[in-house]
Amino acid sequence: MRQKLKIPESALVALLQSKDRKVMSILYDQYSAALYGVVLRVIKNEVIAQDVMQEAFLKIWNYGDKYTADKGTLFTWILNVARNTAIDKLRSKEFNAINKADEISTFVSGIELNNSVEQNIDAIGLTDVVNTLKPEYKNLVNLLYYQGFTQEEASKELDIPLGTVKTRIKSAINQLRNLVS
Amino acid sequence: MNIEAYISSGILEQYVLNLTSEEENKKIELLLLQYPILKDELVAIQTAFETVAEINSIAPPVALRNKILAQFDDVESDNNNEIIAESNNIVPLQKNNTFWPKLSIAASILLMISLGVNYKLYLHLDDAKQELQALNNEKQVLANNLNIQKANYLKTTTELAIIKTPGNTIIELAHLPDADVTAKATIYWNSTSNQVVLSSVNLPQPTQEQQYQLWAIVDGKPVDAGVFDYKNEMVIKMKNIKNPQAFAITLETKGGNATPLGKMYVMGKV
Repeated sequence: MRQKLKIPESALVALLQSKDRKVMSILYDQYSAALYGVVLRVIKNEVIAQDVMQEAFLKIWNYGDKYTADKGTLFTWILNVARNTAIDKLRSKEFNAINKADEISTFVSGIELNNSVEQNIDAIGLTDVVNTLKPEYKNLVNLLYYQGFTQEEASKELDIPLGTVKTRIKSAINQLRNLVS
Repeated sequence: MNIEAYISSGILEQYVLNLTSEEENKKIELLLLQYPILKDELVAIQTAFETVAEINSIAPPVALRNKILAQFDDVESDNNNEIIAESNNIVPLQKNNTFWPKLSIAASILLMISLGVNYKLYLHLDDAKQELQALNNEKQVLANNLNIQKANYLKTTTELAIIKTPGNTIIELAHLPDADVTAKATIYWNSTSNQVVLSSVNLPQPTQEQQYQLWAIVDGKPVDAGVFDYKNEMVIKMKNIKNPQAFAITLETKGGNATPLGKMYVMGKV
């Protein structure tokens, strides 16, 4: 992967808060691959994932002056904007409609695009760090982080008590922290 | 408040995953400001997810960059459009006023002419640059030539002065049968001062370890008249020689030898 020159977050925050337009190209170059990785894992459709990216960067621009370091790093904030935008899209009626239409159109118009999307999603499944967690943690993190499930929804989906969900979240993230540190 | 217990409750993990309520969020954000240890723990959890995102990076299609960044160009041009639209609404009289449209047409024509002239001037500028470069090159050639001419002039006047000096004999040294046919040199020998001057040397280039040496034949024996630099284009004053019968040049080891050991190139009798 290309070696990137990282610009300190403090400088980016200052530019973002002063609504300096050139910050967007810097943010894009610095974070787009990480964001696209998350968005694509949520959306699992390259065309819609790109729309989500566009929407996310617009939100970053519009709400950038609201960010404060009190709640965590800029990267986390940007990551959350992109992930939440993707999850909102995933849960929208529009998405389900587009996805169905897409399935039909790719079915009718050929398999080329469909193939590339499928291959990408296979690759995602293989390379995601989250998938190296213990099975009971992996499924939980996938539901909560990539699909925006509430704890109650996860409890139903995985058929485990809500209390177990709460304790497992902590254990799962502890294992994740050990994996990547 | 027992902050350790609060941390181990797992509430921060839920906060990071957006699973906490608005009310809980407010409480957590307040505590974060009070307890640095809580903030450190939060950052550690966030960093884990940042690292996961970095490891899981997928480069978006190249075209997406321009598409997304173009949005922010549009933001600005949208603002401009609004301003133009507003000013059109405020001044309906403009429609009856023919002065401004005429002026703008005239300005456009002037701009077009100006652009044309600029382009032509630009082309000329390029020509001028090339011409200047050519002139500079020419100047350099002339300067080099002048230096050569100066050296030649000095050599010629020196030689002329030597020739004019009474008692000087000119001895042309010719190539030997086994030497290069272009090999030659000229000696000016003065019978009163015994001065020997070497000129117009034309000999093959010697190696780094070799040097040409001039010999005078006196009483049938070679006498050293000095070594000389092959590249010297000037006249060279050699050692004084009494009663020479002939002169010869041999190629010797650098610094010369007491008696000639190397190959002889040219010779001439006095």
